[in-house]
Amino acid sequence: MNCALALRMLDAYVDDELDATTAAEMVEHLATCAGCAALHGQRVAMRTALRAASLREAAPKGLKKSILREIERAGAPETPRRTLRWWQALALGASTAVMGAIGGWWLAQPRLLEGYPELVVARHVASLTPAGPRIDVASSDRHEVRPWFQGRLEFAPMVRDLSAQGFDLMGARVERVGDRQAVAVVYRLHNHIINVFSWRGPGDVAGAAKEATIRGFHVVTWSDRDLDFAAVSDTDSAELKRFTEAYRAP
Amino acid sequence: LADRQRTIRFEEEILVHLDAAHNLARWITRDAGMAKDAVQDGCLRAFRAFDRMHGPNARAWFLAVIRNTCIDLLREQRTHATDEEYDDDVHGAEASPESDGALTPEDIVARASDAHWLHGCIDALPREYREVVVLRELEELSYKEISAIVDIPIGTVMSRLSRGRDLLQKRMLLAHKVSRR
Repeated sequence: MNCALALRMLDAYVDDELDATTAAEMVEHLATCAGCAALHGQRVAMRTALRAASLREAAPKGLKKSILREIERAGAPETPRRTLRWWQALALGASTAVMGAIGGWWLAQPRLLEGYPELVVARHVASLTPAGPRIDVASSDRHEVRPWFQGRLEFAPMVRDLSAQGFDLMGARVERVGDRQAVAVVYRLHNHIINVFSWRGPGDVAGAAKEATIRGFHVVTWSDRDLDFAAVSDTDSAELKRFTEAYRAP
Repeated sequence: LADRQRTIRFEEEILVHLDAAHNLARWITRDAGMAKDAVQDGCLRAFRAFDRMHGPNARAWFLAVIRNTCIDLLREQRTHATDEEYDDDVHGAEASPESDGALTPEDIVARASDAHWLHGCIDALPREYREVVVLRELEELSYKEISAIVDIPIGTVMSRLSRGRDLLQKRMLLAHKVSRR
């Protein structure tokens, strides 16, 4: 074996992935070539160092428990598809092709969502019940709230822990804003409820935050990449502004 | 009842590898909070796809799901900000072993007793090398398993490991030189 080949095989040798014959040739080469032997020594030293340094980061305590809880609540298995007779398959194929073409064209049109500040205020008011705000997944742990939406929505909602700033996370629910599928993440500041709506849009809202007051409710709207956001609350406008700044902080 | 049994099977076959999953997620995302999110999302994905799991190696299958979840999260989170992948042509070139004697095995062992420093050296590797190094050195997986998880041929596993270790060695040497100054 020559040095060029030995260097190419060095890592596989260290990793014990060579066949017996090649490994034997390697042993022979390393015994006679000081240069390759030195490189081999570095590899072995590095492995020893990496394994001795306990760099492995095990799962935090309680993670397994919260995953099991999550699975039992939301992890329904995907139902296997019913097998179709050939003519059913043909008919279904034809109709989905047409629908797909129409749907594809429709989705490709960037549509502006008009009057959304009014829409989100209406949704905000509708969510307030005497028993408290309407919530689908109630939790103050963002690690429980976010995964709940997986499979229910086509985008991942942004859920932040803002308890340090005085805004307590209460949970979230699936929403609709106009014709858009949306999420509302619910926070509480003292006795005031804050709903943060988000939906996927072609940039309905300009990047910088805008403020409005509608029927006594304050609304702040902004967009971030492909999501549009609207925060609504009856708290005073300075507090809502403080909230949106905290929520948007990188 | 079937659901209950399914959950128990999932716990026994998949969740026993939770530490490995978390470790991989931590090293790919380089962020504790994001790693936790990725593991949670990934477990949910794995549970939903559990019936379609094939092959005898549940650990490799699970780690592949976790890895994909991490990469989706990273993509989702990557803003307009500049990509911070380490570029060894820029950072590492002048520190090649040829240009500055050689790092002896003793040097490596001596420096590496500082786990924090070593941690930083690995974190500085570009993701494609970081993940194979972690799977091989920390999870002690075979080339065949790594090939299945990262979805690359075995030959590529070998060349990435080789390159990854070269970069790591350069990185160690660079830090070593700086500390001697």
